[in-house]
Amino acid sequence: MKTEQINIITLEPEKGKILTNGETYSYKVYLGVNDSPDNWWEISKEDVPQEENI
Amino acid sequence: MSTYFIDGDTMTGIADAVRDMRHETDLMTPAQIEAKIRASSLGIPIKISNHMVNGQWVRPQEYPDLDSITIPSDFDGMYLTYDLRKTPGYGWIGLYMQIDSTTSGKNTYFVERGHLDDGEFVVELQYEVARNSYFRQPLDDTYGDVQLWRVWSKGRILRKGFCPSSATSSEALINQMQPCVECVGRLNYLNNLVGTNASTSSIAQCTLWMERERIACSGLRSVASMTRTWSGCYSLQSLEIEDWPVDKWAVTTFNSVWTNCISLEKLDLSSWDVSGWAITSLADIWNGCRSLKTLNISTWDTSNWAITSLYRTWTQCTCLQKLDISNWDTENWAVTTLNSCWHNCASLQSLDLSKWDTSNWAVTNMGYTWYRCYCLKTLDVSTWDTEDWNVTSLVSTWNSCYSLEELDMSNWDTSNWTVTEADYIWYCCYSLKSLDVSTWDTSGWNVTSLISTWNACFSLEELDISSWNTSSWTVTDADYTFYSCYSLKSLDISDWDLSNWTATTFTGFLGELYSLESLLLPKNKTFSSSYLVPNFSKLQNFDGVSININHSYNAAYSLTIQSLVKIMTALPTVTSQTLTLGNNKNKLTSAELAVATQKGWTVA
Repeated sequence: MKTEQINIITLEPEKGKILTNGETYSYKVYLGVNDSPDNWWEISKEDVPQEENI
Repeated sequence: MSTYFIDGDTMTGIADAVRDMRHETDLMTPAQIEAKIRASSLGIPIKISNHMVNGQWVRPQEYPDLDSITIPSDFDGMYLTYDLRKTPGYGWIGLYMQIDSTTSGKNTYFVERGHLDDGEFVVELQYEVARNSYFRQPLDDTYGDVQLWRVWSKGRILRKGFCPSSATSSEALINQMQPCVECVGRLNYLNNLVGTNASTSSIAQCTLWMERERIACSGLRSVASMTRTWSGCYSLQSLEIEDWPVDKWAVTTFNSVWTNCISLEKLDLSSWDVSGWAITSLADIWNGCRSLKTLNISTWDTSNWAITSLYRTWTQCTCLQKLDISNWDTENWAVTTLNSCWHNCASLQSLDLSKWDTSNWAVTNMGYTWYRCYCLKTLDVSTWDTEDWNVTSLVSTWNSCYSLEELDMSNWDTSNWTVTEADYIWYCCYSLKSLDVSTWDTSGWNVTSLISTWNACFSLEELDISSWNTSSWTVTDADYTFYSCYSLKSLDISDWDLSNWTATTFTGFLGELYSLESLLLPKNKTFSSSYLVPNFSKLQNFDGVSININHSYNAAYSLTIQSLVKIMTALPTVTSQTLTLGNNKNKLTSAELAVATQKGWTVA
């Protein structure tokens, strides 16, 4: 039997908010091993550019 | 507003603009002057239209160079019309008349500017010029944009021309003497030519200026060369040469015969027996016949020809709707040059070449062969034997064949080809639904450029090029290769070897493939181009290249779990990049997502 523990840092915004790093917009983010939560922040949905697909 | 051609398209409209800036509102055109002369007793019209080629007036050797012309007793002179709109701000009248004073006792000829009044030529200005000497004067446009001049002599003219003969003239002088656009005169002698060579006996030169005259050539025997016979006959509208005794000729050179006959509308050569000819080149024969609507050459027996060049044969025949050459016997041909053969046959609707025997051909260049055949719906070349060909260029071969619906070349043997240029081959084949090149052997090719090869094949649903061997290709530029193939449902180039490619940007390589459901790309190389990411809503099945920069599949919401897993697996290790999956994230487990995050990818 092979057992593996998966550690993924996930970020989820508060209700009515969305996450962005300035380029990408997402309701949920799985951080890469070298990424930091500090690189992402919440904005309101209304502030997402209209052309962005989320 | 009228349009005037001078040297193709470049000067079109300039003359109009110049005229508009001037004060003439009801200018009499050369054609109107000709009509008045025709209606009068002044002369039988023969039109001479000089022209420019590449910005230079054509040399005067195109003027009749007959050794001796006896002027008929009722000779009234030649009437020259100079259209200064075609030479804005620049115009000269230049003449040279060689007069036989021993016969006539006259030592002069007269050059007169004038106008027509009730069918009579009214002299406004007269020059008396010594025989065998040049006459040259600038044309003063204050006397009108279209000027009428008359040249006459009571003496026997031995040689005449608008310019000095080539043996004695200076190039600079020649270039300054060519604004004359038309000549109207009583020149019946031109109908009774005797000679042995269509190119040098002045058939060409005579018909060069005729618009619709009939040429009797019963005196021509043993013609060997017809090269450039009517080349540059810009005004020639029709040519009645059906009864020429070409069966008695042994023509060996036939290229450029009707080049740039831009006004020629009909050419019926069905009665020509050309079976005894031994020509090797059809290059440029009808190149630039922009008005040609009817070309009847279907009955020609070409079996004894040994054609090596079809270079630009029908290029720019933009009005030609039908071209029946289906029964031409090409078995003994050894064509090496096919490029631009039907280039810009913009009205041609079908072309049946299925019976052409190409087994002895050794084509090396197919660039632009059917380029801009906008209306071509059917093209049957499926039976062509291409085994001995060594094609190096396919640039724009079918570029802008907007209407072409099917192209079956599955039987073509391309194993001996060494194609290096593959740009724009099927660019803008909007209607092409079927393109069978699946069996092409491309292993000997060394393609360096794939720019827009299938770009804008809007209707193409299938394209099987999966077995193409690209291992020896050294592509440096692959921008827009499959761009806007809106109907393409699947594309498999997974076995393509890109290891020697140095292309990096791939701009538009997979752009706007909105119908794409399955895409298999090579996996043996990592790229830093988001243009290789198929972010299309209908895409379900995908496996392909690894990308090491931020990229997104958020619009490809039909991707299967298996495809998403393959994407995760193909990701290279990076320091910190973002893979945007949008709702595709929800299809994956944490373990599957961790494949990406462990390699430094933040999945959004």
